[in-house]
Amino acid sequence: MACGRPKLRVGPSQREGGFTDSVPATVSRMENQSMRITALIVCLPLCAFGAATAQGLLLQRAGSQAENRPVIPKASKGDQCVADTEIMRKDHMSLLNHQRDETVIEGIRSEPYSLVSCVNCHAQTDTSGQAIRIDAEGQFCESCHSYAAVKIDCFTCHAAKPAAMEVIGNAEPHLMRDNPHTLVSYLLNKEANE
Amino acid sequence: MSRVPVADNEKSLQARRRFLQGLGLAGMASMSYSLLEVKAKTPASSDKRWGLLIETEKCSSGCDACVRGCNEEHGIDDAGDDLTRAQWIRKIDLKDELTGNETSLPVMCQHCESAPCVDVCPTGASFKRADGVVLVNKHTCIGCRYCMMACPYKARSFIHETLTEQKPSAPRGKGTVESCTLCVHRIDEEQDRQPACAVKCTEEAHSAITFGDLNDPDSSISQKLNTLGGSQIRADLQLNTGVRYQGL
Ligand code: HEC
Ligand code: HEC
Ligand code: HEC
Repeated sequence: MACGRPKLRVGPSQREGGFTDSVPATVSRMENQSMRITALIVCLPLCAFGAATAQGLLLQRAGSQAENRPVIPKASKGDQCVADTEIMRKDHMSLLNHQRDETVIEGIRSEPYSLVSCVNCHAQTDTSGQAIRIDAEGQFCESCHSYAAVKIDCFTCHAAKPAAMEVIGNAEPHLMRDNPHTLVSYLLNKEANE
Repeated sequence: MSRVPVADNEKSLQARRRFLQGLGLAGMASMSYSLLEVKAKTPASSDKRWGLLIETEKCSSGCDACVRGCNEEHGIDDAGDDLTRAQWIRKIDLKDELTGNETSLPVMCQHCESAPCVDVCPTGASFKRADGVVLVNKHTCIGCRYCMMACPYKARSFIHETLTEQKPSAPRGKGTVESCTLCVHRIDEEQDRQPACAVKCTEEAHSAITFGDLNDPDSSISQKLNTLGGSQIRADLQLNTGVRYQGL
């Protein structure tokens, strides 16, 4: 970026005060060899100056952004998301929409982008181990959305807290969270009781 | 019952998917975490036609086990005005004035093959899955309630009030229409899993509701229908319902 700009600006056209000169005109006048060297001499410092200014500006913006940035609560489960975090930040809405049609219309339930699963991993618990709604103020979905002025209606129908079993898993980690065997026996018992 | 023919290439595709699923299952034996993955990987297929058989002679007046099972499963509140509250299953008592013969039966969405609710829906939200289950896609339902008027069985309800504390497996919300889903979330999840009404009916020792695949001649529902037959409510409408009754 810093090198594209000076190319347009330097050369005789600038000395003649002609910012409006078109690019081809500038180029044709630069055919002269010495002109080219002059251009280079002018261009290099300009380039450096441009880059420095741009960097300064960027740093400044990054600084002010960090202050206002949404504070996104960390996932309460798992070490990674159902896709790369970068992709999830950008594309979660289309992934969710795609999956909802696949599930509701076609009955496919094995895909990773289930809304229930987002809630299971991303909903937080309060100090007493009670689940907090994922769409409450400052909570996972709401943190970004209020920053970006997005409003979703999903949780007027969809549960905003994990199912009771998930809450047990959260409150008593030794019971199931990291132990597939207790999880399996829990599920089998649950099945037998049904 | 109509059986929709499946194109050959579709069949081989399904065979391949089954094979891949088999591989998946083998892998699972070594990784118990994947237990959570025993879920429908394949779309609902027109090879199947899900249905219910209700044996009315086993169904008694005053018993509402199926209704309770359904309400618990979907987080439906049974309090409130009968005219406006959600009812996915209603218990009906019939009396033949001439003979005095009394019958009791549950009536829910009959999962018609040619469903009037699907025909009238302006957005396509009321639809029939490939396996015959008639559903409301609440993501596209605008709450116009044409389907409720078109349904001869009065099987659909409209949600009038804001709901809270829904079950994760049963999203429900104000402004949309809903009805019996044959517990798709359960039957898709695992093979041989029954809808909640049938489970509850069996649990309370009546076993009046049989769920199964009407297209599979070996399924218990088909066997029962083969031996004793089964009638449709309002058979005159020729809707070819997926819910059949014995003893009506
Ligand atoms: C009016 C109620 C309603 C609203 C609002 C709603 N849904 Fe749903 N959603 C449902 C129902 C009902 C199902 C079907 C559940 C089933 O069959 O298991 C469903 C299923 C889904 C599924 C597939 C099941 C799962 O958990 O993965 C996804 C994904 C989904 N919805 C995403 C969304 C998203 C995203 C929004 C918000 C933009 C949303 N829904 C808003 C009612 C609703
Ligand atoms: C297995 C648990 C798990 C599931 C399921 C899951 N996530 Fe994640 N998600 C994570 C983890 C771990 C991260 C990494 C950042 C963190 O620790 O919060 C993450 C990160 C994200 C981020 C980026 C957050 C940030 O800090 O920028 C988004 C957005 C996101 N997930 C959305 C979703 C959505 C939408 C779903 C449902 C389709 C979902 N996640 C399902 C565990 C999960
Ligand atoms: C990392 C920040 C972030 C997190 C965390 C996040 N979102 Fe989003 N989401 C966004 C942004 C930004 C948009 C708007 C994108 C746009 O308009 O292009 C958005 C849009 C959406 C939309 C589409 C809304 C519309 O009107 O089309 C849905 C649905 C959605 N998010 C669901 C969720 C759910 C469910 C969660 C919690 C599980 C979640 N998001 C968490 C940043 C986030």
